[in-house]
Amino acid sequence: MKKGLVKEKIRNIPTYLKSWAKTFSGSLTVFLLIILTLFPFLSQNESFINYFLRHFTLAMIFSIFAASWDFLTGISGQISFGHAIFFGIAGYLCAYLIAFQGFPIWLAIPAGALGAVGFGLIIGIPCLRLRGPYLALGTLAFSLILLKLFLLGSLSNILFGSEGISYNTGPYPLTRLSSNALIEYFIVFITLIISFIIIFQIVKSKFGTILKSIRDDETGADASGINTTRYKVYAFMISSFFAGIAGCFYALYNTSVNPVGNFGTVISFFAILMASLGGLTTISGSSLGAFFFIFLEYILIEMGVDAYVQLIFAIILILVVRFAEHGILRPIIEHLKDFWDVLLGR
Amino acid sequence: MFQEIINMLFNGTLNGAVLSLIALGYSLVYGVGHIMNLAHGAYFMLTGYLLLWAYHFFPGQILINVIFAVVITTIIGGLTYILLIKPVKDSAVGVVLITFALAFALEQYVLIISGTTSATISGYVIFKGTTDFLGYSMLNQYVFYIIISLIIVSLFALFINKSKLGKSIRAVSQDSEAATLMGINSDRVLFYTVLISAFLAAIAASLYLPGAALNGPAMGWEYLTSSFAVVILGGMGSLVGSIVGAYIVGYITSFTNVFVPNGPAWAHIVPIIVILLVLIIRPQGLFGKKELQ
Repeated sequence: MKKGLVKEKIRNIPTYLKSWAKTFSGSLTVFLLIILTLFPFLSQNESFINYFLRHFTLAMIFSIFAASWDFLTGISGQISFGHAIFFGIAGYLCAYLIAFQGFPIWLAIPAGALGAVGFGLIIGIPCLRLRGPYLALGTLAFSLILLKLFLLGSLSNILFGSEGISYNTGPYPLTRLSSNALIEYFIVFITLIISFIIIFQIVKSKFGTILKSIRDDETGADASGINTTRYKVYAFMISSFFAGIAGCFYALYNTSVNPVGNFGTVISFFAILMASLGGLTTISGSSLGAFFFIFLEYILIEMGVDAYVQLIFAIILILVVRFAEHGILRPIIEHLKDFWDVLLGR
Repeated sequence: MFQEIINMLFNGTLNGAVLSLIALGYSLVYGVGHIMNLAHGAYFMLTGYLLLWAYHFFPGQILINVIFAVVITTIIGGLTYILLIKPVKDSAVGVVLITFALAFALEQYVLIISGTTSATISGYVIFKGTTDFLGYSMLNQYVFYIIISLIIVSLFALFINKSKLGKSIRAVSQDSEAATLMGINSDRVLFYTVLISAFLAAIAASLYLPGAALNGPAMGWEYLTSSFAVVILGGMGSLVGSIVGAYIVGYITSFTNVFVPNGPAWAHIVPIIVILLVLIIRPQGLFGKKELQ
């Protein structure tokens, strides 16, 4: 019986995809994906490829990170203010394995992500008793511990201290994903698409519905016989996996890891910022948020006001939460849709 | 050895005194409105920097500067409530996000103006010099602060028990709807509560920080985590618990500082370990009357 269902589902995929692509948001997404695929080939200019294009790669890395946060907080209702933990641990583990143990990149990345999942378990279990603001502060406290631990001079022989690991700290060089920025872009792009598809499918599935029910009414979910504990831990693990992938990519993007840059509260703040802009429950909103903020930072740096970047981000977050708590992605899509309808004369 | 014990006791008391005022305000706001104001540590930090900046402009006018700094921080506390917290009060995520963003914004603002290097505001010390006690020299300002903090806590206890506003605060914290039915403007009471909490943090900052130092705009986060540890240890919603918790955390921190090898490095982590231990062993804290929600 089950085997027949799965076969049916797979056979249905092309029709499903076709009908999805015909919806407005579906076609919009396809359109953007096509643009992103063709974009890198726009120019052969050296600085375009190595500098400007890499910002797109960075934005995609943060899209994955923000989406992982959104999955945990927006879908599962577990407010995490310490998402930098998973990001940083994966980055450090990946960097360590490559630089000191000579792991090949394609092995170190999953290893790093799995390390992050391990931490997802470690963090998830004590946090089971915490709800809402307590969980937020608990995860914040955890991330502060890790930050302080990695900064401790006395542990710097194991944990590399405030200098972290950089390109040539270890016997093996800590290289980028690829020396060719185009290849780097596409590796991250494809990972982004796969990650988003996986997360979307999880959210739409029965598993996702259970997570949403835990978010909306944990007592009710518990009363319905759902093992909320197990699902919460699963949510942490899934979220930390994707955060870990992003963290490994980030370490390779920078070819270095250090405590403040990878474990800092700033990183957790970015996840929250980007996901909130797009909308707490929309996964695709996270990529909108990521692109928006990475490029806003780029513009501000080019304008020479980089000292004000974080302050402006914080103010934007305040405004978004205050006036548009469900993010700006949905309203934007609604307006685009209306505009499109007007254009088509409907 | 003996001197180290005196060191530990004195600094423990000092830490407890600082934390008691900060955590009291934080616990009050949570108890009354179920609001976690993540910007609370930032109020403390901001007062210190306001004092620093005022000092550059008006070095001589100590008292006026202090009043200025305390008033500004208190106003910011009030504005936090009116502009930020009240509109998103129904969403727990929203309050936490918006106060976190505010704390971040305040930190960045101070960072832009003053950078990350430490600064001192010793110009504001009221009781200069040190006293020797059995071989350990204590800053007079610190002794003064400890005494004042005890007075403030006692005054606050009187206020909360006897005054009309204090009783309203207790009523709202017990049952906000019933309080409204009794004719108490819960919203107003919550506003005053946030105002008072910011005020307490500001007073603590203006009397303690002149003797200590301003360790960069990020110092607010440490006080926030410490407050959280204190309030979790004491029990969310229990004011007595916050005071007791403050001194316990204070002594543990100073013990770690003095007697644990490489102490000062580990002392930063103490509050967080306290949080974890309390959550694992006894989540409602020492005096917690409400269940963790």
